[in-house]
Amino acid sequence: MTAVQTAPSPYVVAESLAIRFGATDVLQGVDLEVLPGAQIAISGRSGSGKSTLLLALAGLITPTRGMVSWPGLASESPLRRGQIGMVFQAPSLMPELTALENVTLPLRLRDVDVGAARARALAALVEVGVADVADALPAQLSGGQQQRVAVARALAGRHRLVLADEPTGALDREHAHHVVQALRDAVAAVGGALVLATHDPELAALLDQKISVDDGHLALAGLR
Amino acid sequence: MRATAWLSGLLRRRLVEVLTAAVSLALTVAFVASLGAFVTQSRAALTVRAAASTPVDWQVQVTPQGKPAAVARQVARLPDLRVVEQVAFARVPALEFAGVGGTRQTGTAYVVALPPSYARSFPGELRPLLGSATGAQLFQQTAANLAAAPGDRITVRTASGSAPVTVDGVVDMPAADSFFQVVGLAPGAGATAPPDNVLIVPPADFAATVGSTAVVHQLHVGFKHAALPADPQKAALLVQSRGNHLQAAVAGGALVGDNLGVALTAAGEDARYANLLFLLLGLPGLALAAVVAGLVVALRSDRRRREVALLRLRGATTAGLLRLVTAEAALTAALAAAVGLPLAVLAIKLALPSGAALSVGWVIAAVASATLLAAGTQAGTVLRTILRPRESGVAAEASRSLQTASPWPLRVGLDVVLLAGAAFAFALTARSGYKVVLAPEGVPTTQVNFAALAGPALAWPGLALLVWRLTSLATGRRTGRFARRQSGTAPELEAAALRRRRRTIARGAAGLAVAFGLAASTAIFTATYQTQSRVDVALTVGSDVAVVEPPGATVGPNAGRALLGAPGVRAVEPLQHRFAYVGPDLQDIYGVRASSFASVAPLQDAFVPGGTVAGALAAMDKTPDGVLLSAETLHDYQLHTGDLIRIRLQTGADKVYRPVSFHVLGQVAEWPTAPKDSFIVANADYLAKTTGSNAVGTFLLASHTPTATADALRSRLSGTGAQVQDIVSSRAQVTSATGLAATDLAGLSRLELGFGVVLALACSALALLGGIVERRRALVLLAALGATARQRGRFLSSEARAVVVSGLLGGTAIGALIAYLLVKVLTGIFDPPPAVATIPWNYLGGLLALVVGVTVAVVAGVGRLVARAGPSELRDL
Repeated sequence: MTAVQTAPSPYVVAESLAIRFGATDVLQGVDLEVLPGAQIAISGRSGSGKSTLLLALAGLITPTRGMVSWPGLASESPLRRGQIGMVFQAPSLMPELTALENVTLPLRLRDVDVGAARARALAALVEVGVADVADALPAQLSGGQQQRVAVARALAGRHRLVLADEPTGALDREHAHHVVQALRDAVAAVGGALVLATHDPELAALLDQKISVDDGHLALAGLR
Repeated sequence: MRATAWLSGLLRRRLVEVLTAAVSLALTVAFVASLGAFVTQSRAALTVRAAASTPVDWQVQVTPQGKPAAVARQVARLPDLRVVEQVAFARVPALEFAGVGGTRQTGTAYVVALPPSYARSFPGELRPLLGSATGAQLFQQTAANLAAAPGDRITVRTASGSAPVTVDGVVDMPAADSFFQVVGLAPGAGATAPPDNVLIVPPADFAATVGSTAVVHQLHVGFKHAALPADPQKAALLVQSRGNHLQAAVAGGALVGDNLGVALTAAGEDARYANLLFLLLGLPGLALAAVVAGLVVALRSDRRRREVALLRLRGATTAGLLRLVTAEAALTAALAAAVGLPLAVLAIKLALPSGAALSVGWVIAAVASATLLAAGTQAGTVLRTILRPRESGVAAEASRSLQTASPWPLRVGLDVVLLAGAAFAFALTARSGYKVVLAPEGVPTTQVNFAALAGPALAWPGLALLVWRLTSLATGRRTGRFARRQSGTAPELEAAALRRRRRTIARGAAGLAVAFGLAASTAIFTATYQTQSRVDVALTVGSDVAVVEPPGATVGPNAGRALLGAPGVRAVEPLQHRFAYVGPDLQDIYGVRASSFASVAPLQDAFVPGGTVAGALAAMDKTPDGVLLSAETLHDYQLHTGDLIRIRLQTGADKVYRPVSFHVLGQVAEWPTAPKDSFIVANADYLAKTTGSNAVGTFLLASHTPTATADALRSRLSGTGAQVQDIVSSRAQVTSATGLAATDLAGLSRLELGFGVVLALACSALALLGGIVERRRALVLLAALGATARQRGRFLSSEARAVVVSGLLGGTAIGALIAYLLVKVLTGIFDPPPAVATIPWNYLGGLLALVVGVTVAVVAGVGRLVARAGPSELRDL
């Protein structure tokens, strides 16, 4: 299954992608292109392979068969160059860093200077509504606050491609909508693309394209 | 859940974890069991050595009321009897010899009847020097006093007349003190100097020689030493009880001079030093082994907490959980014993002298320690989980993670309290002259002054906590502001992470510091002991090699030049030896060349109390008639530096004792080849000039290859009567003043140093792993955020660096301080006491390199693991 768009170069291309964990085929024969400007919602049952697909698209998992490439990002490791941002299912923050430091960290690793990194991080925290806990450690935040800090980290990175795995699982509907909208705005601002895995049909409906994963296979769910 | 099902699950699913815990506890088992073998072996060795060093076990003296035959019958009934010889003494007014230089007469002399088999029965008692080993024998000193030699005919003056005796040989009696003891006095009741003038005759000639002089009859008894208990105190008690029984059986007919009992009692005192060594060197090691076991268990405490919480959710009761923990502790301890005991056997074989073996008592103690440790460390996590209130939510999470507050011992200042206590205890020990083994009045056995151990005992935890405090303080102040700016780094964030992880870092650093400190302090202590034991042997021999001229030889100092050609010889120095009277006391006097004597002799400043050896030798060089005297002589004769003293020496061709003037330069405590008691050191040239003889008693040789030098000289000098001694072969024969031979402590040091390295490495690896395991998820996250291996490595290594640098600095300080305390508190074990501690740079350097190597390996290994983080870990993010 291929997302409909032909030019310019797609940010990420999966060709005949198959991933197997032990005796289980998690993904089989997946073909996918994510073009600049695309905003794709991926839905599917738990364990259907959504998270694995996102990890593979980020280059964090080596395919068992097939391949993943990033022609539009012009890099062998776009994750390292900050062209791809990941938001994980669980709020994944460094426990020994404050919310602000967590958002600053990937920027600093990409050589953004301290002042600029802090400014961008603060702006992202404001965007997702957790600026008031900028100096708190993750253990002092609720699950929802942690998840929003993780989203702020992706926003501050100004990535060309954001891969978000259930980024609103711990949020109420109002905050969830706000967060997804913030992600959409952020990628739109840099001409980027968003691939968001979610159970929530309402959230999925906010995005332009919807595909579903079922038993490791992709199915086109509809276009907007 | 049934315990068997739990254990079966553990073995199937957590085998690596169970084995890791078992191996860490196996170290404890091996350490305790092998240390126990050292204690048992060193006690047995002390007994064997004490018995072997006693030439005559008992001197049973027949009292005026007793009858020799009746006493002999009772003695023959003693158990474990090896040999009995009848000896008789008579005290005569004088011995006389009319030789070439005129007639010479001694003062009061002893005539002793020894049966021909005596030398075979008690081989250590007599040392033939000249002439025949049978027939009439003169003491070396008596022969010198009379200027008599084998073949000369001397006269024994008695109250009733005189008897001629032809001298067949000249002998030395190394244990003359005990041979001529006043039997019946309590040990130590008063020193009795051995007589200078002694003639030994066969029993058949005795009556004719002494005439009507009163005769003292003794039975010299030797026991089968193999039948003695291994523990010297038990052996001493047995021998003393046997003596009491004999004295009761003969009903006042005899008194027992119990040389064996005295030697075994002294050995019992030495055994207390062995116990002290176990306490001071062994217990910290045991505590460290416990720390290692605790660190291993801590590595899986998070998982264990989750498992216990899950079991509780499924309805497990507290009692049920404790049953599971107990079963697991028993399983771990059993596995630890299965691994640890063979390890102990190997350690004993590699480290301790042959004959050392596992003992049942110590094996039980070792396995019990492992069981307690397993139960304590494993139950700890479970109990904390059980006792923790059922909190949930943000507050509970916050209270559990990232504890940056100091632990309670630091909050209450326990480190300061412990160190103050240690300083106070040490000051008290110093005031008492570092006497840790005491012989209280009215108590028949010695006691250990355990209060003296309080210094090191308090210093260990105090210093560990201090390292924790200082590391926490230093890490808590890091900002990264001064870090070198490198592309793609975030020093301020690395510093922030370290600041908030300071409790974990400080805990790891304290653990490493204790491990390194233990290995370092043990190494310094044992190196110092080895140095001093070498000095002790060198003092006995005199130098690396010594050529001792036979009695009566008149070899001049120039003969030393010929010895320079022997292989390996660096320098040769003549050492004159004479006898001299200070007042009525006969003392050894040594003539040295002050300007060059230090080139061959093992001299230490401790030999010259209140000064330096260089200073004392320089003073002698400037003062030809200067002498150094023992403290006893200075005190007894009220002498001070600069005083004139007239010492009687054999002078002139007639070798008559005449007064010679000297000036006192100061005190001397030890000198190569000199006895432990009083002696005199003078200038060789002055001695030669005033006595008219430059005869050298001993040539001392400094050699690069003592054994080769000695072998060459033995071959070259065979037949001249000269004896060649060397420091290497003498080492096996010389025991320290405390009786703890170098071989004993060498075994302990090998054991300690070996386990020290293993524990230090295990501790450093575990201290790092403990921190890194906690950070593994964060490191995987860093990888998922796009951090390169180098960037991840910086986060990882910054923490490892903080742990290792603080740990090694703290460990060095702990090692130095504890070594200082050990050397001071155990001063009594050293002979002579060290002026400075010996630093084993090679061992410490190697240990340092190994710890750094382990750190690099752990960081690199974990880095690779993180790089290979699997999908499950990534999906868990």
